[in-house]
Amino acid sequence: MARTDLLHGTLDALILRAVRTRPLHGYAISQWLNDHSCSAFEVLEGSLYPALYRLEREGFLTAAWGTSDLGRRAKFYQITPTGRGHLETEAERFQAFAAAVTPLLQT
Amino acid sequence: MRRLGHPGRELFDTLFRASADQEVDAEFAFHLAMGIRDGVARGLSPGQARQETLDRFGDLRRVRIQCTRIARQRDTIMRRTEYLDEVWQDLRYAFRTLRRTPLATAVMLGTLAIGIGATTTIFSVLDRVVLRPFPIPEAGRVVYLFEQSPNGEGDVSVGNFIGWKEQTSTLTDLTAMNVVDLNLEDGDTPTRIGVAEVTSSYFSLLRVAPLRGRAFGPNVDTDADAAASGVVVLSERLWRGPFGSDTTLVGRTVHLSGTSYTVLGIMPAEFDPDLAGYDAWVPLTFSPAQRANHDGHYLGVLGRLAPGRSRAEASTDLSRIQERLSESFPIGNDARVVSVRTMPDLLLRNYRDQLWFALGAVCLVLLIACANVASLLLARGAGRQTELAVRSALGAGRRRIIRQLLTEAGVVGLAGGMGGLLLAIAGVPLIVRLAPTDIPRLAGTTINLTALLFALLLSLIATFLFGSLPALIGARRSSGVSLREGRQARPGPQRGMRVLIIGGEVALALSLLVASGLLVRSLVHLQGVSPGYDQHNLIAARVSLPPTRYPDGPSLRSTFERILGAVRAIPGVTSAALVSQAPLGEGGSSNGLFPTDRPLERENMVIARLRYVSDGYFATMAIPLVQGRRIEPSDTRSQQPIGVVTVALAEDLWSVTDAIGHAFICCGGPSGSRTKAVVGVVADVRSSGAARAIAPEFYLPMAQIPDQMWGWNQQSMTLVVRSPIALAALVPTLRTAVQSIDPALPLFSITTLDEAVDRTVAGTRFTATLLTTLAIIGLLLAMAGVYGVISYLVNTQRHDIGIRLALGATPHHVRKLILRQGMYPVFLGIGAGLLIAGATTRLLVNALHGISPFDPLTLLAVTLVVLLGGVLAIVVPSRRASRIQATSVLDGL
Repeated sequence: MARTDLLHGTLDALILRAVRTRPLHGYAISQWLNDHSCSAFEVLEGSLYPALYRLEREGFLTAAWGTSDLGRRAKFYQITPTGRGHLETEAERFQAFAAAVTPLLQT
Repeated sequence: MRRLGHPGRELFDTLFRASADQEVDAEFAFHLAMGIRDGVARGLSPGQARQETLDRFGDLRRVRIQCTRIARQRDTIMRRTEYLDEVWQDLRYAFRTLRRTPLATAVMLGTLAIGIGATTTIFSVLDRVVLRPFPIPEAGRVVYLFEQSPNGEGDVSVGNFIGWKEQTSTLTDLTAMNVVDLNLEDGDTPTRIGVAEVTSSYFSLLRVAPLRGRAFGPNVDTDADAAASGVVVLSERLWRGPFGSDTTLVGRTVHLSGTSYTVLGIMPAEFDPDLAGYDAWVPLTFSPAQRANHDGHYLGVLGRLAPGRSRAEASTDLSRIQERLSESFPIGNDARVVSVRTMPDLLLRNYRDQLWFALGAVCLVLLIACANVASLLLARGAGRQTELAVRSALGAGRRRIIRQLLTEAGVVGLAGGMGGLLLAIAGVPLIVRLAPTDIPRLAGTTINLTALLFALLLSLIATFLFGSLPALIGARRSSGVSLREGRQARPGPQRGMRVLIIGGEVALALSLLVASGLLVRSLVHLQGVSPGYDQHNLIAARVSLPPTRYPDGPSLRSTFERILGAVRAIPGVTSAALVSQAPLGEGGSSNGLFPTDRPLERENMVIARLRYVSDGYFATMAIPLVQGRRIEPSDTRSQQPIGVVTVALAEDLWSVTDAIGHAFICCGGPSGSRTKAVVGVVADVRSSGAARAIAPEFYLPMAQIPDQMWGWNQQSMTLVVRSPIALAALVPTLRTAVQSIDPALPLFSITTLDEAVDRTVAGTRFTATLLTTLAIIGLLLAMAGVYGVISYLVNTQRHDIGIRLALGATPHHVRKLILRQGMYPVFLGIGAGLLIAGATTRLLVNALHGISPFDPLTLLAVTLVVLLGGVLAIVVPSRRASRIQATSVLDGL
């Protein structure tokens, strides 16, 4: 079980993917990432939160305080149209990268 | 990390930093709570669950700081975006509001465009003529030197120049020059060109490099080229003109008035030190005899201040030298003081003061325009109380409302500035065309980058001037007025504001009118001053006999006499004469005279302007004879030397008008010819124009000019011809007559004396026209402003007036009431305007002639005009007020 360090851009793309369909708070995003990683990687909160704030600063995410399922006030992140565009670009770039690298590594 | 005791920082922390900190803390706290909850659900103890969650943060402090920093950056970006959004909103809102009231907007823009356009136009001219640096390195340290005598600044004698040059310690170098006209004989037709004879250090002193070839330097006396033949440096204009930009010209030979010169180099077009447009420069050297001469004052002298030395120090230094020279060489030296003037000061002084004054005047017009716009904005602001109250109720703060109103003003300011710039682009060529031709450096004035920036700056200043008060008042209203109250129109511009605007505009317009009135009266005065001769139907033209063909006195004398004879024979010529220098014309010099009945000492010497004349001069000019006789054909070399003096000179020399029988000594030549008997006294002549004081002059017969003295006037004389024939028709026949004596002689500097006299008042006429135009614009703008304010007053007081009328007031009463309310500030403005005028017209004192800056007639007339303008502007709205229907107003309640 190798835990690879994630590239910055990949983490950003993954976060955007997590909130693509609905707003989530930081804890939920962290859970989503770890549920979907198939244990291939692990995102620690020490890198997740700075990435969230960075994405918010860049305008890919907006944040608003709302009430969580349990009635506590939580900060929910929502994807912006720019964020959506960024996610698409990143996804395409990653696929192209993977398509180029995979055959090389199989030989 | 809060720093206490710094209120601004503290406030900033409270507003922004704290929120980022708290946000991060709250978010992490939520995360921790969730982590503990899920951990406990998985069967961990609360303490273990807490530790596990915290572990996933790694260094919590570091992550917290990192997130807080990014959050603050995010906040800054958001604030900036929000601000830009607001600006954009304000701009769109401003455009919408301005479009809703097209008439008021058009009036505001038009008024501002006129003000900014006129100001930019005058500024462009000032920038071009006065502010633009001279194309000479450190031109401010190049000085002109003059011998200062009681009659003013005069040219310098060779002996004095040599003395100054050898002894000065405050100037690095001196150079002397003498301007001559020569015939350029290369090319198809002989051309008359202006040539400056300059001493060897001229070019090195001015520090301008030639365009081609080289200029002559300090070794010109020993230069091989100079020894072989004369050398000449040509101007770029001459090179491009008659020589067709010939690149092989340097090193070749050209011919000037019968002499060959080798072309050493070509000076660039912008090299024009005296703004006199010389075509060429040739070396000027002095013989030992000339170097010893302290009497003939004809040199222009330039110097460059030594490093660290001031103009005043140079003046003291040179005056001390001149003091010693005057002691050693008393003949012809009455100057004890040397006047030192910097190049920009000498060449631009007259225009500099006038143009700065014009800029000041046009700024007053702009101020009036700003007052008008301010009053329009105030009136609009009052009409928009409800709207502003709504905005305020919807949460727009006071600052936000001020910013929005200022944005509106800024849009008006910038649009007005743009209109002004367009007006200036049209106005600059107009003013260049109307300006007198003798304003130096005016040609080529355009709206350049400087003018563009100036117009922009003006727009911003104007926006601040007319925008700030209405914005502040508007914001106060919006916060002070409740929505319900807002429905009722309150008195708009408060009484104080009304007095300020009307009074201010009237005061500015009045002071402009006073200045223009004084200048117009000066012009009328100057045009009414008799020059002392009859300038109508009189023509002057110069003839010059080149030394190569006319080397001696007898040939010169006989040729000039034959030319005069030929001109007198032209049909239609009433009379004609020759003079070394016609009034307002070129040539000539002043000389020192000693009366024979007093000792030959310096304190008895009088400096007067000398004119050599042929017989018939006084008759041709119509200069009245006061005593004795005129100069006659019989006054020849074989007869006793005689002279005719003016009344002013007779009084200076002998304190009498009847000077017949007296004699004076002057003017070089063989010793026997120096004493001249006074045979006649003639009336004074204003030979430098109506604006100058009368100066003493004397006349000597041309026939008695000593042979060796002809060079003094470059062998040139001026023909004065009285004839009813128009100039254009007469000139060809005059040329034919002169060329019947010598076909190679050109006739030059041809002018009618009418024109010459008119040129002397051109500057005053220009300033008077300009100021009058500005004053009229100012008055009209001020009247429009008064009209606007009073109309607005009537509108806001409709209810009040209606009630008064309903209660039995007559329309006459209403008219009187409005008139009183309007005229009170007009009177205040007139008072203030008279005070402003009293304080500022002294700046005009150099431009005024024959009139005091406090001329009561002008002040009275201007006051009446302003009063009348004020009444006119108020009567219309006051009549409208008196026609308000009481019933219609009461119905509306």
